[in-house]
Amino acid sequence: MAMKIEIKDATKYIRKALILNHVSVSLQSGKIYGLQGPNGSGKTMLLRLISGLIKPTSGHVLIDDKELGIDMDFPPSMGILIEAPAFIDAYTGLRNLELLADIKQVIQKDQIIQTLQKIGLDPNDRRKYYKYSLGMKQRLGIAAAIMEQPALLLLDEPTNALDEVGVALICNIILKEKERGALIVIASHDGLFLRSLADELYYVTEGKVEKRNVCEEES
Amino acid sequence: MNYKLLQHDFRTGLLRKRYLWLPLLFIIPCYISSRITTALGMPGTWLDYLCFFFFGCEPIYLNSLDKVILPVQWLSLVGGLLLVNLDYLLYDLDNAGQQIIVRSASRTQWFISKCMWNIASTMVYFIEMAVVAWFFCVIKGGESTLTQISEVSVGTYNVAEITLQDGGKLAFAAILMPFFTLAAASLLQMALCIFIPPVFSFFFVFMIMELSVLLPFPVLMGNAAMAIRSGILHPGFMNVGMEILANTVVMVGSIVMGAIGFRRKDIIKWRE
Amino acid sequence: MQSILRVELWKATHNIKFYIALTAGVLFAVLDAILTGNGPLYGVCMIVSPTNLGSALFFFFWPILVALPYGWSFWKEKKDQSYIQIEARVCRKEFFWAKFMAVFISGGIVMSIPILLNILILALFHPYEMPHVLSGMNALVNGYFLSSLYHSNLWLFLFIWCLVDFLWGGVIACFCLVVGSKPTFQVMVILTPYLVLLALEIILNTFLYGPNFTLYEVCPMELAKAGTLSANPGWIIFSEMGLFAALDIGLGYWQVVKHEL
Repeated sequence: MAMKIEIKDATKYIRKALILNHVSVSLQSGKIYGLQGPNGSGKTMLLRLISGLIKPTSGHVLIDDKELGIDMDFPPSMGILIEAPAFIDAYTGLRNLELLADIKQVIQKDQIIQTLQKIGLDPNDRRKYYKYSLGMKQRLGIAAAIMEQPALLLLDEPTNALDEVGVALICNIILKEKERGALIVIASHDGLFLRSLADELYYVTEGKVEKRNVCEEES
Repeated sequence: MNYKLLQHDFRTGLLRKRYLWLPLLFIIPCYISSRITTALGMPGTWLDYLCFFFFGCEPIYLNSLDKVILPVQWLSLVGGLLLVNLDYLLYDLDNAGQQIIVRSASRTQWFISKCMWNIASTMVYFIEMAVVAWFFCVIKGGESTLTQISEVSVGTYNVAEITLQDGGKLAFAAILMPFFTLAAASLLQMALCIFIPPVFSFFFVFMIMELSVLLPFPVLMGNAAMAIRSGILHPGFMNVGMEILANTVVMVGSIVMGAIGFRRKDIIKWRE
Repeated sequence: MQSILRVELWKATHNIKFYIALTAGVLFAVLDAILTGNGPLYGVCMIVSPTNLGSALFFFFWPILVALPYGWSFWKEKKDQSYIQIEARVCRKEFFWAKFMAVFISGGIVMSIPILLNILILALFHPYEMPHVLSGMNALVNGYFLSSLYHSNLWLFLFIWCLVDFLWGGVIACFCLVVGSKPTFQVMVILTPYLVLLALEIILNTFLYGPNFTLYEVCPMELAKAGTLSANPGWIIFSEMGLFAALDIGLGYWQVVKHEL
């Protein structure tokens, strides 16, 4: 379950635009890391880099001392919610999650149902995904990320489109995931939300990542 | 091989509504061949109907004074398959794609699974074609055999070398070779989608197929999917060995090129 | 209306797909000019005599080429919700007409510029002679649209045909508006006119043509050529074009203006 991620001097260019600028970060299980920064600063790209969806132009990403992109394509146990959640329109939320769970086959249907209930969605809802509201889609996206109890959880703007009750519910779930021992990275522009959860806070601006003290931020 | 991923691809990729529309594409060739059977006064066999789909057209000699008449039926069957297989890769990445790919653990396996799906989808296309042909054959009172041809095919293909016992030869040229060629074309299209937007990928592969109609060289893969040009039926036309080699190169090349390209690709937002 | 039209026209002619479509069309036209054989201008230009690779490719893919520049725009604006910004500034009717005109003009340009270029290139190398009715070479005889002009004023004939093809390009490009935002992917919107024309070609060839019906060319994809196999009288060309225009405007208007956004 324990996981250690090290990003060593990672730089990413996309079509000559500098997206990540010599990023070096070390992350460990059992902690919540917050990525804060303005729009377009590179938070989502950093999450994509950790998830293996993009590869660094230079530098390395090590997961438990194995290099991402060489020794493995993706971290072995990971749940992600990056940008807007997307599922198959023609299926219900439960069916979508079942299809996803079928790929790894590490959880059963009852666990999927429990996750849906935990996230505030009705497992018996017969509505197709395209009929879901934005908030319901976001909840389903979070459910997909957490349902297999991954060792690494990457959440990009998890509170998007959620009401106050929803935000409180998500905070609660994230804290429980931390207690379970997961390594959680959350990117958000909402400083207040991040400070209430994160053990370590990183400020991302123009592709550079710099560590901030949570207490300092609070003051 | 990740069988769970493959199972997922077969389930979500082969259970799409568009396969239900495909028989509409096959009705017209069947209707035309049924008219031929009526004109000849014989019912024709199931194989006769099947062999009519990828009849194609005889080599076109450009720069003659004759205006170019393209085999629209053949091109529509080729285009139909390319369209059916065009956007699943895109669909899969666009929908629950990121969730799936991170669960698949390997980019190469993910792409190989898509290749397998692609070939399976081509197979489904041919199976539907066979079913529609069978219906027409039964309606016209023909024999449901896939080994025998009748005078209908002999007349359609207009070759003295074919005899009524040559069902196997004709089936090879008119069913197996088109299947092999279209599977290769479809894989090429999918591999190209990784590098260029799908519309250009479709345009590029379809243009190769049309160039094959206009330029009768075995290395242009489309020639192998036109039964009338097959060297098996017309000695001196296309060299079948060369055609198989060309298609194999395209098929293997597409898988390798696609897998390498996908390994290096940043999965950010799929370009359309 | 003028300002939204100006904006739409700018968008229609300043995007990568427009450049690619125009480049592909021009390449086909130049290829035709290179590959064409000897002969006077009236017998070699691709609009009259589509007998080589370049013209075959151009006249088979023109529905894709004309839809590529801007046919997808309404679909895209609806999908990414950017139409809301425009809706807030102009009324739907104006938005529709501006969109329609922009798609029409971009499609027309991509269709007519390569044809015009082909004529001009060939005019540099091939003698200008008047075709003789009895020559039998690529003769556009009675029944073909503007056949008398072909035998009396070739330049005018060719330029009018460029204009006809401009209209064809525009009308077919606007067919993309008919599907609105229904397709899941942009590629399907771009391919819609092509698929419809291809389907019409197959259906008409199967059910209309035969030994008893070869008098007129009725397939819209073929009607973009002056030199068709069967006669292409003006009433067929313009009635089919009118039919497509009516569909474009009727269904497009419904999709953009009447349909619940």
